Amino acid sequence: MMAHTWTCPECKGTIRGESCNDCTVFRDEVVGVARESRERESVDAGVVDPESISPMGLPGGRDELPDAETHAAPSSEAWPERGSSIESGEASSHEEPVRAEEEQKREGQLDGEEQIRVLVDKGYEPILVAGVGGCGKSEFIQRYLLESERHQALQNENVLGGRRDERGARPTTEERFEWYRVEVGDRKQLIVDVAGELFRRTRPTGDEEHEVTQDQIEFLRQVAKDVRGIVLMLDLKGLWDQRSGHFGDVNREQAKTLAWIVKLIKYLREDDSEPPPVLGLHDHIDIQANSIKKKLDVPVLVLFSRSDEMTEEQPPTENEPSRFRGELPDELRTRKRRCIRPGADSPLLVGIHCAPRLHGTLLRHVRYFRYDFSQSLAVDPATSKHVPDSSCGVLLNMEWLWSRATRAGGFMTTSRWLALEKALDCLRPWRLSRWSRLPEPEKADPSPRPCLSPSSPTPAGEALEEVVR
Amino acid sequence: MSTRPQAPGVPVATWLLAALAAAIGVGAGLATVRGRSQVGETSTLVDGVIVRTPRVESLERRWVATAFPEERPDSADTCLVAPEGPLACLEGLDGLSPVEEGAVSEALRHQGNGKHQVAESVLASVVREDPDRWLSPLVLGMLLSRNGKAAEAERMLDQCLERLPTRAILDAAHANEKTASQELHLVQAAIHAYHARGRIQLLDAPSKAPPWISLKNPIGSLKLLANDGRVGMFDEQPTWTELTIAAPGCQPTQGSLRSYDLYNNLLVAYMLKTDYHDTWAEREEEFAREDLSDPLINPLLSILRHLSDRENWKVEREHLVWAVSNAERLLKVGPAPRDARLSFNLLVLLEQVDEFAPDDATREGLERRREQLTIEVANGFERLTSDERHKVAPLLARRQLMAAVEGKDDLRLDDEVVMALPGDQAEVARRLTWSLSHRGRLREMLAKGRLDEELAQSATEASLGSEATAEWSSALRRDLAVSTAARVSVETDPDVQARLIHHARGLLSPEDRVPESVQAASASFSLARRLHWEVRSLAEAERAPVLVGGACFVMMAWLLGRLRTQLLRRRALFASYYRAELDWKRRR
Repeated sequence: MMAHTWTCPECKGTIRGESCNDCTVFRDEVVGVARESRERESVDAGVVDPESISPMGLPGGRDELPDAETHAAPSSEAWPERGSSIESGEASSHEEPVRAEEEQKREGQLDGEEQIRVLVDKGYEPILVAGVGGCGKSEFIQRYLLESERHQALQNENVLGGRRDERGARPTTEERFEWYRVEVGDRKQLIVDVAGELFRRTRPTGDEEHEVTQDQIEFLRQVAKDVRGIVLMLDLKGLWDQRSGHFGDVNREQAKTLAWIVKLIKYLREDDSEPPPVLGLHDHIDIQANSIKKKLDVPVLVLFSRSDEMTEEQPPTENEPSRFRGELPDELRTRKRRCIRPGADSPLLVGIHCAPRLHGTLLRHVRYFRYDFSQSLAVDPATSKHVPDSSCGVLLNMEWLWSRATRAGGFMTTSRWLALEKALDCLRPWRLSRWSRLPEPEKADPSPRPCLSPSSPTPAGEALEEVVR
Repeated sequence: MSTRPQAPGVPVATWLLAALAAAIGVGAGLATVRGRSQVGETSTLVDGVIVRTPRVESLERRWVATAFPEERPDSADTCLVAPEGPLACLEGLDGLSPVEEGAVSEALRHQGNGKHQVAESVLASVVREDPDRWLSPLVLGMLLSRNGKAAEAERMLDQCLERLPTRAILDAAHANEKTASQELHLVQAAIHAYHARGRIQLLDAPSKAPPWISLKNPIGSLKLLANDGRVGMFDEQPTWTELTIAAPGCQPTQGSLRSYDLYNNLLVAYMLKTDYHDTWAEREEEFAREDLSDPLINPLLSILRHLSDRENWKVEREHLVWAVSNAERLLKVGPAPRDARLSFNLLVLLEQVDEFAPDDATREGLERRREQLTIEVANGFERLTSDERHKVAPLLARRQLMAAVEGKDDLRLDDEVVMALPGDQAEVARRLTWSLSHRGRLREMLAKGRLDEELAQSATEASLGSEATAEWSSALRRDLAVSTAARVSVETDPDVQARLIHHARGLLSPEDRVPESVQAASASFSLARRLHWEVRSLAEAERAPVLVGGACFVMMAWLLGRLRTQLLRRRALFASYYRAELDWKRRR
């Protein structure tokens, strides 16, 4: 059997085995490029259903998208060779190695986990972006990649062609990890995206009676051990979703789900023990996470997405909305409540008052965390179309996650800073009420949606122009 | 305009305040470390400290005064009376009758065998048979005196002197003739007889006869020996001032009668016979002095003139004036007499007349003389009899201990002296010996900083009472603290001043009362000076080696970096990056 080799698109070296010996390019990336190229061609030709294509389909970053015509990637005939023993060249057929790989894969394990592990071994620091489906994780990541000034290839919206429609990114597939490499200075970042439905399944909602199984949390096991930062996306508008049914429930219980994710990651990092026979996995994780005194020592960023879509009709701010689900009293239902203004409100206070359960979980289980608003893309109210380069609260928040301030240790954890601030407010009585109820915006917000202005260029675009010049 | 949005940083004012606080903190830490490290360098501090121990001296002086009260020499129990001289030697005497020679020989033999009664009876028969013989009554008188029969001894010595040519001897001496005019053994016999009789009369003989003739005539007779060129021997060395008066027929030996014995008994007589009076003519002749000596050199002359002055004259202390006059003649030339007994009596006299010193110079001269006499008493202590040692030891120990306590002299208290003391005094003497020996190690202990440890160990070794040791240790610690603090006033370097104060206070135990001078030194070292010291310490740190400076800089940079990180973390917690990007876009 002839051993197959590929040419690395990054360093032009030879790929023998899983990854390039000289850089961090995986064989799958090279193979995936060829497959993506082939599939895109098929879609354009109306042969393949676009929904069947992995939305982020090109693990390893689009910036390394090779030209299938010019690079020495294997031809479509070589595609079935994926998963075969390339180095030894002993596989005699296409099907056998694929089956063997599937048999070796654990139950619940997603594709791409091995690549993530190898990248971690090579010094990449994973950042996990978590949230329920539709909260905007993938859009946030894409916007960050765009604005990080290091993924120039993604500047071209067309590159995202098969993955986006007018409303943004399509749902991430549930079968695999999507990951993106970003290098800032001497630090290598690895942003990991997982389908929101997988996160939701780790915690049964109110109308689901089944117990959490090991299979449902398996996808988080390895990532939780290696993760160096966590982004929790919370759809602020969905938090007060008035719809009934599954999606309404999921949206309204986002905060609970995210709080559970935090506990789950802590459990997987610090304990990961088997539950006793008399105890369900959910209860076991809950008990273990609460009993571990050591807090999660990775920074956690809670982002309120879609906050720009909040209107005056949006309901409460001081209580978790789920408390009023179903039996909301008339006087509370009709009471006028003010809207959240991302440009004027304090994200910390919004987090404390609008997601108290999540905040309590963070205080108890996380050393360093912060809240902020985020807006990956905006809809022009006049045309009901997405406005390009309308993001806000993406770049700086991600940079905070990478900053040294979040990595350095120290006695002053977030909970201690908050306790100190509360103590200081005892000396400033006029500010004391902010801890009991959400205060009025700190300053007037003349334009709730300044990011919608089509004429305003994106920061990343400006930076790119500077680079080009 | 920035090409990209910037996250909110730490406000400048906050940053400056934090940096200032960190700098002050690091500076204070450096100063503290520096101060602490230099506290250990006590040896350099102690080198400049003059250790004075007034509290310890006061305590020790109190011990001495309590255990050794000053006694006035107003009885024979205090003063030392010289004993009789040796008996005669038949080998050197010519012209003796065989009967007398045989009787004396037999009596000496019986006396040597302890048969005092037989010896006395043998000689008594010879004395009665021949009234012209002088040897047998001399020997018998001295034997009776030795055997405690004062009345018989005095009568027998009277007979001896009546049979000797005493008048001729005194006339020859008065005429400044030589011994050749008289036979030597007769002169020796007269001196011995006078001395023995004078001793009996001095010690209140039953006859109540005054001792003056018996005490003064032998001294006058000494001139014959001196004029004859005969020298005395002391420690096998010839001396013209310390004549050795051999017994009749004997050669001068270590145990012979000495001229100092004659002087001693006359002096003691003046000291004890408080009823002694004389005429003004005699007084003026005796007290007349032509010398104009310095009171520091001859303080007794100053006292003599003061006491003999008619304006100051008091009858009741005439005997003392005569004693002073005789003592002045003894001490005006040369050093103190090399005789423990005479030196002791002179020492007693000088202590007694100290209150009559007309001026400070005289008092100072008296003290110097007393110091010399004390040394002579200590040197001749071994030659004293056991009874005499018990009399001498308290005064000798008191003076030696007091001199050592006051730092005038090193302690030279022999074990012989301590053994001669009563039990309580011996205990105090041992305690003071221990304390004085350890005071000499003050500087060493001070430098080591192990004062308490040393004291505890030494106290155990000395087996002293814990109360006395605790009191002495407390006094010592306070003295050391005061001595250390005293240097603060002469130091100009605030750094050294602070270390001195710190060290002084560190010497004190919690139960010790802080001396006022230490409190005053601490108070004078005001806050302003402390601040000045700290700032100066920082400035000096710049002059420190590069390594230390670099380490401090790195430490401060690290601290500031940590502080900045924490402040950034707080800022990020309360800030909205969304708003930062929004503002950036609005500005554009």
